[in-house]
Amino acid sequence: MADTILEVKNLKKYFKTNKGNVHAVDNVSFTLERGKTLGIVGESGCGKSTTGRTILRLIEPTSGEVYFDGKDICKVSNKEMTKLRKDMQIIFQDPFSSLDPRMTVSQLIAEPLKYHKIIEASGKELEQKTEEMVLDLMRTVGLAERLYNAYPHELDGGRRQRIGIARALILQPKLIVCDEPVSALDVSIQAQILNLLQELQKERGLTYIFITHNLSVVNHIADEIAVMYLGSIVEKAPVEELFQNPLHPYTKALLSAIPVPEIHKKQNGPVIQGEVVSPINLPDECRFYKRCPISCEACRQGVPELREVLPGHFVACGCCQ
Amino acid sequence: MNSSNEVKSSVKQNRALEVWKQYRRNKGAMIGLVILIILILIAVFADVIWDYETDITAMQVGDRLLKPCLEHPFGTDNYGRDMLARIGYGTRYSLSIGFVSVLMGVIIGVPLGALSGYIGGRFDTILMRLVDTFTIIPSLLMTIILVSVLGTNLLNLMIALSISTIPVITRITRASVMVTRNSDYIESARAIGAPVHTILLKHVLPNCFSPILVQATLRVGTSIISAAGLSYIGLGVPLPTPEWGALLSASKSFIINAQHMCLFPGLAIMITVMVINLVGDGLRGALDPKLKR
Repeated sequence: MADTILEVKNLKKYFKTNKGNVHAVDNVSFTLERGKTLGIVGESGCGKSTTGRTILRLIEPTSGEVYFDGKDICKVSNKEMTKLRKDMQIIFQDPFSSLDPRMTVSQLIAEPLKYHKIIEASGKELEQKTEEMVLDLMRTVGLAERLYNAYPHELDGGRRQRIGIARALILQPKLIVCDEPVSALDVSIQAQILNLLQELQKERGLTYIFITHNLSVVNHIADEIAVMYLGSIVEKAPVEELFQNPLHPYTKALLSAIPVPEIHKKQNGPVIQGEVVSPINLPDECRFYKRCPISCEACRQGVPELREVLPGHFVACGCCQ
Repeated sequence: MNSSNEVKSSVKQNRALEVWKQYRRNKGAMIGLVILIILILIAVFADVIWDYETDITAMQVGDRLLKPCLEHPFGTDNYGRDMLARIGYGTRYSLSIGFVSVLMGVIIGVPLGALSGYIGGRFDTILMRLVDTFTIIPSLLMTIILVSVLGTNLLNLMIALSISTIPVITRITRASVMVTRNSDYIESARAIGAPVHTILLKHVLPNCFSPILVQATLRVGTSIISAAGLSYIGLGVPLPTPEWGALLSASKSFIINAQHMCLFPGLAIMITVMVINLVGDGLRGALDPKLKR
């Protein structure tokens, strides 16, 4: 494997409830190369966001290992974790609730600098350099300078999301988890933000984990896609491969559900029946078994492992070859 | 770069100035502030305006129970003392009782509530049950018990009143901290590596400010009224101190033929409570950038 920045091994996060454990993230493993983008797709409630947050240790994992630049971040002390946070950042889904309403744009962008010593200066000089850095970053993400002292509630969603991006960027991180960064925005702004993210990636060599439920978005930005269903990755492959040769029945159904801008187009491909099984106290069989159009016997014998069926193409299904 | 800096600095404003500008727009709050300042000035300079020995406590039985007239705008009491002077001097006691007791309550209640709400778990449970035991006892009864145990003087009255304020403030703080704690911007602060105390002080508490402030201003009024009530039943500040509640209490035997004796202290209490609420409301509006127009 070439330059691996992130390696996730058997990551699990169970939430305890009165009825039993909710398997939010169940045995997720993957590796991510530096400078690449991994798209994580799946329906609502399948554990995409929890996976992203557990990787950043914003949620403590139940078990498993997350190696970031060779360091297992689940085992480091809080102090070291704070240092590591400089290198791994997150962009939140909802730009309306992820910015403190009592801070101005400049305060929001400059806040990370207070906790991480990036600028080597003190007193007046620090203030000036911070200001320069904030203005520079505002230019980079496309925020007008007159917004320097504006409050987030005065701005629209796209601009707010740019603040969120600037806030993540100011620490010059290596990895950014983008947790549905465009799903709260309208379509024209979605494209702008996606292009901005791509440009930034090219310029700064960033690595993204891009969480979304929008397959067109992920097609646009990702190098590799992992499809999640009920807390587990069911299929993982490079973008073109996944779109042209989906193997898992769930992936096939997902892809066939992408709306095509054509009148009288007949929907082909499998349609999934039924509803998602409750993630509490799951039976020992394929998570998708009850809804699977194929539902072969192999999938009843325990949860299928993620296997490499083609180079770079992994699938967790008992009967797909 | 130079020109752009100028553009920005013209927009840049002092935070305090901004709050003041915002505050000034609220007419009611401005009227409240002016009256409050006058009241505070009266309280501070009470001993300059009136002499305690001759104006406040000296009895002139010949002038007893005079109706309001030019010489005594608020009339006189049953010992012939000028009511205006006594109410004016009483501002000192009533205002300080109101403010100090609430301040003590806030100083203790806010940190307790914030920690309880933010940490949660067993700490929260134990603390809240403790607070519950305080709330079970009616606050006036609680104050009466404390004052009779500690003895009747101004400081003990303040302590007793603040103890019945603490549970209220703790609960309000806890409730709003629990709401704020789960918002995305708190998680965002954790993601950039902000330490816990910074998150609490810089992000959580400022966003819980409104309900706490509203409650605190309301409590100032309640405390003044409670103190008045305690003085009324003789457990407040000992006589002949002209605390407003004590003045009201003294008026009860003369309510048939000297209504002015209860009217004016009552008005003073009412106006003070109203004014404090107005100021509190104005502050809340001015400090919240979202309410900016």
